[in-house]
Amino acid sequence: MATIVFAILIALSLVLAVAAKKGHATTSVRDFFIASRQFGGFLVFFLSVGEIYSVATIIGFPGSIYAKGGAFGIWFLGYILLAYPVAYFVNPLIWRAGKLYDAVTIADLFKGHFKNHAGGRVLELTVTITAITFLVPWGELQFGGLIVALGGLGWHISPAILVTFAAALAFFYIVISGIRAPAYVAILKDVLMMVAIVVTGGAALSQTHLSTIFHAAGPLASSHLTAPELRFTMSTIAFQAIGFFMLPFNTQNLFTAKSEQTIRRMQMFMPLYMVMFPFLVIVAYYQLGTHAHLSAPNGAFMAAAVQLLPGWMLGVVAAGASLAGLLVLAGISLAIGPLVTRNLFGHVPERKQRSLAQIVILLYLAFSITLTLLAPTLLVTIQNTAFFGFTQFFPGMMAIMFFRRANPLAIAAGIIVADVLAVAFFVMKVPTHDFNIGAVCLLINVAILIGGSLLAGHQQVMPVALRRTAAVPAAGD
Amino acid sequence: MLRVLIGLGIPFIAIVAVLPWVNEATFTLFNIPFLYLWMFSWFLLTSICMGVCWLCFDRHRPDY
Repeated sequence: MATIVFAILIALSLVLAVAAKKGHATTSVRDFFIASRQFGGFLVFFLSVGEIYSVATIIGFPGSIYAKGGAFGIWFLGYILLAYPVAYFVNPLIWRAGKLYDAVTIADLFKGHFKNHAGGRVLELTVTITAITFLVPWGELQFGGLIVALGGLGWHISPAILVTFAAALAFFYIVISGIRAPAYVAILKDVLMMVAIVVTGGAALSQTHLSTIFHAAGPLASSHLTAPELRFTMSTIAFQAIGFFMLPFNTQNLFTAKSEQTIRRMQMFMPLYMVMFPFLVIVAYYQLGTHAHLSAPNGAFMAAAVQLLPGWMLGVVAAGASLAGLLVLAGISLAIGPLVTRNLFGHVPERKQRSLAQIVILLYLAFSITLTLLAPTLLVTIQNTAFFGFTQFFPGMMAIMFFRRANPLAIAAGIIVADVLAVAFFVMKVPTHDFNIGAVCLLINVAILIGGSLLAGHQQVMPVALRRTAAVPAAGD
Repeated sequence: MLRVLIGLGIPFIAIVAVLPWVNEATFTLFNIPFLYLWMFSWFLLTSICMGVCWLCFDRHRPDY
């Protein structure tokens, strides 16, 4: 029964992907990747939350509380929540830069801003290569979660086949309708995922009582942070909140919006959507109290769903979780394609960009699948690692918004040094007194950016925040 | 400046800056630890902070 419901819902998502194309039979690169900047608040909202609350939310978040205790969930809640006020102020400017420079990718912003600057190409390549490199773990995160979500259906199929099937679906969405497909499928995904989480949480509550759930989980679930945990939590929240919209697909999704006001208007509702998290916390604590010894902590949510829900509802849960992963894969693919064809290669004519991008996307999906199967790990660890890289774009992004004397080579040097150090610190387990490694490297990045720019000379570029501002007070005032 | 303080400053203070003190609170509701109660309530309160920014400062910006 679960399988039938699951199959019907996935089929429905394919219908939506096809329907998304209706009336937009254009083959232009801009329509394919950023919907020609036509989306209103409603679609931008769903596209954004669709790719923010991924399979890492429904599978990874309860899994991490289950594995590491109650205190571990706090940074996850905090950084997503704080990302929204940051976004309220920064994202309209990112959109403005996108419009000014006719951007499709995050790297296009830097390319456009420094087009008359000798170092512009170096910075464009730095951002491009960093973005692609750190999108690989993000894809791995989705595939890892998909294996767990599909595992709940109880099929006896090898993970390799499951993820290949998932990759084929994600590829199919975008080949049909470009970025319009994830936007429309996101509506279905978000309804299903919300239902899945609320129903599973509700079922856990109906088994016992709210106060018993938190009590039964016992000392395992203590949510008191020790001093090192507190340092980790605070630095990670601040670091990832500013890095959130530096994720290349999040940036690209902003470009689909009609206007700056569309983005502000939608942004203020975003935190309300987090209402699902209390239910995820309940499920995690319920599992800790009743089944404290799951062999795979990532499976905590699905295991609860399997125990508590009737078969058909399990199909809904699996479909919601799977669509969450599939959407993000589609989003990453739509980001990677143009990053390679527009920014990495540089001279591909626009009419060829789309078909070449599809080949790149296939290669990316194949590579991510291989990594997933070879190196399974706790999902949230992968997520943290990816942020080490993406957040390093933030100082450069601020520089093109506000810093007249910003030098592209200084920005590039900051990104490269910080990324290399972050990965080196992480791999060699260099002690940072429990502060987030990426945050420590971000400070080095900022120092290089400012120092280098001031030393480099006097070529100035009008900052984005000051452009076309005749009728608008300078943003950030 | 007031706009940034309300929209960004207040949420940052609530979620990051005062976390060490929130962490020490022993209050619970239905055994739900205070740290979680605090985070959950800021889902709504953060939205309100941005809503105030929108209503008081940003609503009448020219839209392009």
